[in-house]
Amino acid sequence: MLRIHPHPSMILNANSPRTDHIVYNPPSSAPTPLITPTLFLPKDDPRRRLFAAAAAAPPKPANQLPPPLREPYEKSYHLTLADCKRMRSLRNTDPGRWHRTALAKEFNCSSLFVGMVCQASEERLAQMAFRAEKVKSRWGPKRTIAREDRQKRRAGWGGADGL
Amino acid sequence: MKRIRNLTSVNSLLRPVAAPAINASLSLLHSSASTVASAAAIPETPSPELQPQLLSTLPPSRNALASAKLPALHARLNLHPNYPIQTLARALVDPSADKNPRFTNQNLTTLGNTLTGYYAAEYLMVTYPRLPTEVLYAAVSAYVGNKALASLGREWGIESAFEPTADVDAGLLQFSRLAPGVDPKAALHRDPHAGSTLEHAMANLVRSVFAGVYLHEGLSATKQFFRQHVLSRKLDVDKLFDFTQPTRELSRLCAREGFEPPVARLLAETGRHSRHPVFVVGVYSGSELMGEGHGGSLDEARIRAAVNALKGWYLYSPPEKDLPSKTEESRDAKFKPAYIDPGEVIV
Repeated sequence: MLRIHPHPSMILNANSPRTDHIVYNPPSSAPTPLITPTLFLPKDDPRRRLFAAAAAAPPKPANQLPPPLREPYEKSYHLTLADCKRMRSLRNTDPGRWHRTALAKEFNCSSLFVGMVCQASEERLAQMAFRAEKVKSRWGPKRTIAREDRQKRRAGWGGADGL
Repeated sequence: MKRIRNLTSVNSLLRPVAAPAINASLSLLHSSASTVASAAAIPETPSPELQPQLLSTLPPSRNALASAKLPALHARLNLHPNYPIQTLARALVDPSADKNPRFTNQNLTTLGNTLTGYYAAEYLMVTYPRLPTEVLYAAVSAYVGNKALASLGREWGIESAFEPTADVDAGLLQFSRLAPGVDPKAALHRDPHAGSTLEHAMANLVRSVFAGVYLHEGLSATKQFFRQHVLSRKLDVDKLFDFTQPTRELSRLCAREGFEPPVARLLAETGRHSRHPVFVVGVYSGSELMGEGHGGSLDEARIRAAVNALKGWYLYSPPEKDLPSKTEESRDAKFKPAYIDPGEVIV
């Protein structure tokens, strides 16, 4: 038997309404994007005022919010134009030794930022693509299909899969 | 759209052939036609190659009054008595069925295309002012594109003749089909008189009927017709989106609008080692929840949450929606200008 506590609106106490009233207790379901969050409403939208008036609880402080997936960090803008130039020259001279991770460690930034600043030479990219193709050609049918499926699945997360 | 003050443009669309030697049955047809057509006083001498062949009786494919299907269609669509059967008959003739543009729905299609495209775009822009351009085009196409109008024509119960010969019923859609294996887009682009597809012909027919409503019944009747037949169809605008880097786009949106940077937080999970785990992640700006998404992995849930947050932004709909064409009907109508936003997020 499923034993769950009754909804707070179903418990009778001294504060319960004495007259007929409406109990709003919808089942849990995924919210629809057609309802705009209050933050996204324009400043002059009349619904801002109405939501503020109907707000039950004040906004929670940061320590009571659900745990973040990744701890928020402060973005540092310590790299100058000279650093970026040096990054590019290192990448061009020895892409084998100065790959993205090595450059990120050297300049104390993220690998994503390194990718935005500089790219390896065409020759190097072609060489790495060839190596990847050689590895992929050794895959059996199950692995190939699984990889393709995963790629399609990820591509659908942007909205194309209709969810 | 300007109101048609004089009837000359209507004449050019609906003027029947005025041949020098008028046969008895032909003159009967002209006198029973609408007052608009009979106002065309000056008979035009057509060019030699488009000179219509004079017959002793009207062929069934051009004899609107002899068809039972046309009055049935007229009644089914609830058209006003001002809308003549002859216009309906003309709307059913595709350019691929007849070389002479005086008998085909070519001009009516152009007018109908302009009207339907305008009303659909206007409605979507006012209802969803923040919609990105690509999504807006997709939504307009979903309402008044070829596929949508072709299915509308099918729902109206319009049947097509297999070949546009002279003995087919005037109430059938007349068009000549392309040979099998021919690429329809290329063929239609090259020469619309050579042949057409059923979808294309049906869509053009629906557009021509719209044009007829505008010409014979007026502006408010056209809008009502559009609302009843096109806007009443269901379209999930939220299913038309396809983002490539939603987390990046959301980050740029928050930076542009001055919100706090987005942080993904885990709202609920079935457990890391569950057989088929479900994670529910919410994207927060400070302490405000922007969007929520669920998935089989933390990555999936985070990406879906960003997608839903972006959809929540783009699908904003203002409470008062005044269509600009409201001012066409009466100049004194109170019009509240539509909400205009800076545009889609540039990454």
